[in-house]
Amino acid sequence: MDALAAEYAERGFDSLFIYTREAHPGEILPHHTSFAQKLAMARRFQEEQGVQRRILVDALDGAGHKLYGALPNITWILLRGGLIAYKAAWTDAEDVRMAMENVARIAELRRRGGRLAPFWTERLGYRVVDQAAFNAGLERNGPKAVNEFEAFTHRVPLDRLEE
Amino acid sequence: MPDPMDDELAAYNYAIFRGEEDFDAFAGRPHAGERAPDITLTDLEGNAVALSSLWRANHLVLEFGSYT
Repeated sequence: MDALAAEYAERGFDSLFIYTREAHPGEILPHHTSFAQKLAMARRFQEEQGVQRRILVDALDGAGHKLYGALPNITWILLRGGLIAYKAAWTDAEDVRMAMENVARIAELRRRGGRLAPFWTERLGYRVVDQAAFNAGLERNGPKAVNEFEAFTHRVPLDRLEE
Repeated sequence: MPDPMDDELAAYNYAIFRGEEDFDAFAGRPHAGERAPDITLTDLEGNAVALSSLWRANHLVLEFGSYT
């Protein structure tokens, strides 16, 4: 997504990363209990992962995240002026690229003149899952994160993991 | 008396992942073609930033997520 942001910056797109609650908290990267801690986690994320996009942090109670659907890794595209052009329940760079090209196309059609009529579409996206990278991420978060995801995927009651 | 806000904060910032995200609710409003909600965020230097101040100049691509 950072590469996409750099590629489209000259074409009128600003790209942001909005920092939410932790999706898979563990012992090493825990859930948030204060805004100062959330801010510190966002700074750590930027430094350790080398995030190039501007990071903005949501409120501790998730006020902004909740208004945008509260899923763990969503992407929205807003047209200049604040109209929603795209919302996706998961972030996939190639899908976002297609959506950005669509926004650029709208701008091009406007430049050409003539009457434009908006219409609404719905589409199913697919993403390639990098399971090894995901698992490595859970391990980085801490053993708790690994165990909880294991329990979720195998529908094992969490208390069984403690036996 | 316990502050109910504490429960709400703890529910949002869950300590244990249970996979309870509501993907169906995400498919509801707001939809493409509607006005985006304005929200106030904080930059890494601690300054408040209104999202609406950022969509005046350019289109915005917003990825929501966390380290984990």
